[in-house]
Amino acid sequence: MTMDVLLGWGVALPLVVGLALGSMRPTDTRFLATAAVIAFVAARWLTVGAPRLPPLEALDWPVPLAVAGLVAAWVGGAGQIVSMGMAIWALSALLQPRMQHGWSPDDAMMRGIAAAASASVVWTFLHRTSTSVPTREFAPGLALLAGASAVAIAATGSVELARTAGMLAAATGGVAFAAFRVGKTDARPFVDVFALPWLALIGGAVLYSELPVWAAGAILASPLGFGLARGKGAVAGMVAGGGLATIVAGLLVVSQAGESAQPY
Amino acid sequence: MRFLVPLALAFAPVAVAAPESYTVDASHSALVFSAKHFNAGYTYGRFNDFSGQFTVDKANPAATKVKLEIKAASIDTGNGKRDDHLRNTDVFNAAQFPTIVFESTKVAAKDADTITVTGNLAMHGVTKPVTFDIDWTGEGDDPWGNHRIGAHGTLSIKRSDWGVVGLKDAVGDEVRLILSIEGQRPK
Repeated sequence: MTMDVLLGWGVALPLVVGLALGSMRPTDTRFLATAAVIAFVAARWLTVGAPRLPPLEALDWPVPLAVAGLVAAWVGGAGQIVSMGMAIWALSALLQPRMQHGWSPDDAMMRGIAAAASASVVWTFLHRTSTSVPTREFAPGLALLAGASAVAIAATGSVELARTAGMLAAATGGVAFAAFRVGKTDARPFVDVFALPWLALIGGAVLYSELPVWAAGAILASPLGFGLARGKGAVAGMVAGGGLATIVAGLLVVSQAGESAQPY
Repeated sequence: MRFLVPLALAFAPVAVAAPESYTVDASHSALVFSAKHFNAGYTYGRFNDFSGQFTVDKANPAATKVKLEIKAASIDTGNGKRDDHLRNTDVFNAAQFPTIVFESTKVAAKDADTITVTGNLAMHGVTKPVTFDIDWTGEGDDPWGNHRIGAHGTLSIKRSDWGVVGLKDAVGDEVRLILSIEGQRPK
């Protein structure tokens, strides 16, 4: 398969599956979240291959974390414990090899604490916001956030992580179209299936690619725009936050490299 | 008295070649690889940082042993940006899997100058067996009191067998490796 075909499948499939499945039960956000996860997993499977279990490296984590998020969305209150456990497991698994090979314990400890603290703040913030912002406004915002992350990760070196973030954006975006018919429902299931794989992608790009910590911080902070501009301005806030982080990340990486992007 | 001759021969000292242990001289060795780029031409690269030891037993080739340890981050394709990309999580993920290790498990003589080596290649968190031929290319003494021996081998692997699946369109699955090794030991 050529790159064009792979990229086409990676984006088109989640959109089509998300639209089809999402339109079947538009009144329950959990069905929309299920559609998003099915679309995301299918796209990854078709373009990259079967997910490797147990996860071994950064690229392996987004799929099982999306599935874990889906379980959390369906089991309700206990889901918080499920997704929190998965988040801790994933974070420690992502950090462990870095601590083992290359970082001094102090350095790794500081970065680990900073990453865990940032992820916890963002995750809590998304969860709190998702109860007050309707799904039809929240889902497109998440899709844009994943899309912006894909661009930033691609600009800093990892094609595969960026492609996975693009699939997450397409899956969320595809279902977001159906979410317009949902009305003012709780968007929390969307956050459950989105937040863990998204945070793992950002973390993986920092730890095992060249996404600078400050760029990751800017991307993680962009949902703040969502919360600061609630209601009709929520999506605009997300676009502004994600877009700004992406542009700044790209510009700084290019300036750090001291050269323009060249094919090799 | 005739029976004494074979008896004497039986107890005569026999010259048995002992196994010789060599250390890889990385500055006179090369680990080169090639892979197809967009299914068009071959792109070549090398690993600059590696070490190893091998034991040569000329009387009993099956006792020959080889171990090589390669730093994945030392990949060098002549393009710094490309090397950075190959080091990240898309390909080698050198931060998580910093070393590539080959250790022989079985060696058999193929002919006077060639051995067939089977061993485990550990790369990217996956260990799989590989088999390839190594030719002994020659040996000699240097002026600093060392004895040197040369070996050359080639093998092909499918990187996907080791879970290296990134950039599947840009970089071919089959990777050809050339090992040109010079070992040294004190005389």
